[in-house]
Amino acid sequence: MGTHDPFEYWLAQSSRAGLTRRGLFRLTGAGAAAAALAPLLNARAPQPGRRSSRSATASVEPPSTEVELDFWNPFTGPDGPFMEQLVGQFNDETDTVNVSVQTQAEYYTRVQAAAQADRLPQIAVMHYDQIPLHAENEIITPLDDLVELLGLTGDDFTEAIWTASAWKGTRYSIPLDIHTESFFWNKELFEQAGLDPEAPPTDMASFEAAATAITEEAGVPGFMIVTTGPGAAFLNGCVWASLFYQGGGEWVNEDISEVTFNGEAGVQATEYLVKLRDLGVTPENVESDTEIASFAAGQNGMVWSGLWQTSAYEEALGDSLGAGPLPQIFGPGTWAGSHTLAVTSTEMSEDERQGAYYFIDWMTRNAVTWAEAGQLPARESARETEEFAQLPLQSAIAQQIQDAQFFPSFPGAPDLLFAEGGASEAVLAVFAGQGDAQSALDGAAERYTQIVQEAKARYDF
Amino acid sequence: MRRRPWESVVLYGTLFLISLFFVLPVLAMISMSLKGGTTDLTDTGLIPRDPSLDNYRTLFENASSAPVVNWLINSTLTSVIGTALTVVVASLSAYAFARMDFPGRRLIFAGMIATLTLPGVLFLIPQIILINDLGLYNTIPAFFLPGLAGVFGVFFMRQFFLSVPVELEEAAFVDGANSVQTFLRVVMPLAGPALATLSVITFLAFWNDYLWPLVICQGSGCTLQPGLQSFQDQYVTDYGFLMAGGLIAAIPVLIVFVLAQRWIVQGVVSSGIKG
Amino acid sequence: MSAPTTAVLAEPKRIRAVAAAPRRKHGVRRRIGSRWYTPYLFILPHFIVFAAFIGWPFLLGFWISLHDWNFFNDVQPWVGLDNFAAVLDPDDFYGGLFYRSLRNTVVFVVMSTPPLVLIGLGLASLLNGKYRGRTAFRAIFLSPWTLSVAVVGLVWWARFHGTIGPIGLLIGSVGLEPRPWLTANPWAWISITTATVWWTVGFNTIILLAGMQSISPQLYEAAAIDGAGRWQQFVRITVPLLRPVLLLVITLQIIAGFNLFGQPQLMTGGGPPTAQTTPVQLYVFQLINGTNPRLGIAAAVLILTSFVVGIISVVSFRLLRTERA
Repeated sequence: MGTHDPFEYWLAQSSRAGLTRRGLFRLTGAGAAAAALAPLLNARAPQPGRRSSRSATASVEPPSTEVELDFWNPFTGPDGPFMEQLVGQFNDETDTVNVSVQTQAEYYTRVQAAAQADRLPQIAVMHYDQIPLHAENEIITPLDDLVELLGLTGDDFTEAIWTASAWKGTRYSIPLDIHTESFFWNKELFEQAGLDPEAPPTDMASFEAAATAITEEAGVPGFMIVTTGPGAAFLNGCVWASLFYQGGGEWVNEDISEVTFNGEAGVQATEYLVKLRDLGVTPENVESDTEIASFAAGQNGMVWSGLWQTSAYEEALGDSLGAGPLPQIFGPGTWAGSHTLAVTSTEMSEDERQGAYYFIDWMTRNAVTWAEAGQLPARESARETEEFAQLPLQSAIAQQIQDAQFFPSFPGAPDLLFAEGGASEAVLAVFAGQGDAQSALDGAAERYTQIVQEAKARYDF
Repeated sequence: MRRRPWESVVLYGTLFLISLFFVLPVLAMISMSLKGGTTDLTDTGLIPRDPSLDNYRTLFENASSAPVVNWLINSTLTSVIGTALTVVVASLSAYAFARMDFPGRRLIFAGMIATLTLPGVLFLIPQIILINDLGLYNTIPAFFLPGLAGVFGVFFMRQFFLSVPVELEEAAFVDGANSVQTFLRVVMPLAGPALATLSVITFLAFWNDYLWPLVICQGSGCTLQPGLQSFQDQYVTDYGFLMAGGLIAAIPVLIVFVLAQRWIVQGVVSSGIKG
Repeated sequence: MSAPTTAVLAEPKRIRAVAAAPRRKHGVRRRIGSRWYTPYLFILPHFIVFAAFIGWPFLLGFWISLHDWNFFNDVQPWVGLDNFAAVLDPDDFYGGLFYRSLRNTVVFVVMSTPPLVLIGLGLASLLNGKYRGRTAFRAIFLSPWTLSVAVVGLVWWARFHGTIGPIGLLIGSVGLEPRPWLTANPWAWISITTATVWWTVGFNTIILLAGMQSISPQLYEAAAIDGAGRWQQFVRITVPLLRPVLLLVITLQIIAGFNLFGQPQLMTGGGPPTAQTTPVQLYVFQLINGTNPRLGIAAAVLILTSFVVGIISVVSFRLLRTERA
């Protein structure tokens, strides 16, 4: 490695097996290809349009001595193999750094346990909303030096993500991707129901019409709503949160002293899901992951799933898969998350640290390959490339980036939605017939106000 | 009481039906595990349509995501070493409490017995912290040490030693044997059945231990039982595969049970008495 | 020195002579010249492990419960009895969840103890006779007890799971409504209870059987002569004489019920929302896992629960003692 010529770099890349898109570019002629790919190759450049070669921007070099690094990620879904492939590619290209990747279930439990036992991997994926807590607990270490080295600024990233990867003024991670709650529909079932498969619903009325049409004409549920099962709090939570954002909901008040998800937006979102259930478009007692499996099997008309399901749906439904932004039931808005890469506090040598930095830099530069797994690159410049445009489903969904909303930045923020006693559980309780939306949400909000205030005192924010 | 013929029929019939309840789930498990790669959901009969050992093959080959062989080794090491140590250490301790008089004997023993009344989970959190502080996270000793510390073995062997006729030991003393020799040459040879019972019960306890290893193990360092749980989480739709894994965890104890049934029953009765 | 064993066994006279000699109160003569430290050497190996892994944790548990203990604090903040106050307060975040889990545990205990005891009694009666194959049946009833909760949970999760469980399929084929065996109550509790009965009723059966077999057959013969039928014999002789054993089994069952963990974790994941089948142990497990472990609270919960279980044990053993008297 170590070449400064973009074209040479691309040639080296395209000789890798399996990168058929790169092979395609090879046919279009070197010059045109180089021009087309320049934005991709220079995706690290902070200013879009400025064509700097690698030598002009400061970059991280791989360390001179050989290092072995451990890298943990939580990708137990269909996106997992893509990450493994990506890491394999990195290992092939990099002589002195060998990364062994491990996918962990119950990810944060494992990370916590490893931190206690002093067995953290050097590099770990961190969801953006876990940064404050893990920074406070000194599980991850500051990355200000890496950021400076790469010349990254907030201009190239979605603001909320860029803000969230810092805590109390220090940068702790580099954003890798964004994943939104996305809308998938079965074109074949649409046709059976007499709907236009190329014109998905975009608002409340059309959405309900489509759901009922599929249920009645095609004989399968139009839109399954998860109400039970181990993953219910998460899966239903993402759906509810999207409706919540669409209604203008806010999780906490200005100075993070009170939880406010029990306001109008929250109640409205809850009651809308109940209304859908009453319309009969979903069976009762849908267990978590059933809505996904049924959709993949063509037994569910529409589904709001995380972006990471894209590849699995593509494989199962092929051309019958339609994907796009969520219908705007109450307005624009979608739940979104982001994976970031962080370096942990485990002891490591200078070379190992450099290797970790090099890995993180490499990963964010090659994030477009990660997009094949259904994850949207966090960097705007990476999303503006031709290569990315070649992925039709992702491009369609990427329109929603501007509507993506995120948790506020403080330790334990995602628990407001996903954890025991939180908003998602309250919504599930309403479905189980344990009270009405307002009182269920009020109870959860009261409980979590206590937790937030405790956290505020403990972590001083 | 003489039994009339129809009563026999009713008796055996009832027993048979009840046995079905106990046996069918395991049979179904075996059957499901033999139903090839991706389970054909329509193949619901007890006898697989197309029996194959595919699931088992995949289990042993799929080392990275389902390290069943590692788990098997860890379980075996933990159970064998743990049982051996427990039996030795408990016997030594029990003999002293049964046959020797020393200052503090009653107090120490009472203290130990008192812990038997406490639920094991009470110690869970401090034990986690202790194991971490000792740097033993995800190691075999961590799996068996808290069990080794348990008092049931001491209690059980003490009951046995108390039942050995004192005369034998006294005669040995008269012959000039010291405590250790008496213990090893006179008393322990008589302890065969008791040791067998304790060994079997202890082995079962270590092999089947679930919650404790669950909280201090990770990945391929786990034993079979917590491994099985992560397995169930990961392969939640591949039922045949899951059942094969479950059988791997169950078959050793079932074999032990068949061979050592007598000791197990005795062990159960003693546990009851202890309660 | 020759092997004492052979010497002893070859000389019965000597044994009698020794036996006739005066002895110390504990039954064995203190040997002249035996070391004072020998007993301590005998108990030392076990005692070290005991002190390290039971004694010390016992004390540490209380210490933890008095702090806001998190794995990552350098210094654990002292909170005194705040954790206990929080757990006992139903309006507190942790207290509310604790009471919910406690209620679930009680539901399980109430629901599972009668079948486990009564079915155990029934099976013991069936096995209490002289006929061929009795040992084999006893083995069959006891065999699930040798399995671990992980296997039991897996097996019964599969049995009840909607799409592939044959119970679900069976009911569906007969035309009845398929039940949400694992995803709604009361079915979820029924599923968990069924799995638990299958798993542990053999244990109760063996203990009750041992109790039954120690009842003198002459009592039954006498009753038969008096004209009592089999059912009457059961009610008038067996049950009353079994009372202490029954009490023991019931107590053990209640204590085991409070230890419920694996079955709900594996079969329902804590239950239909919200946490409807999450017993206390599972709640503790949740408290120490996840991104915000609160070990002080968890320790307080465990101490309080142990206290409750302890009271139950003490009460029942008092009763047991009066029974035996």
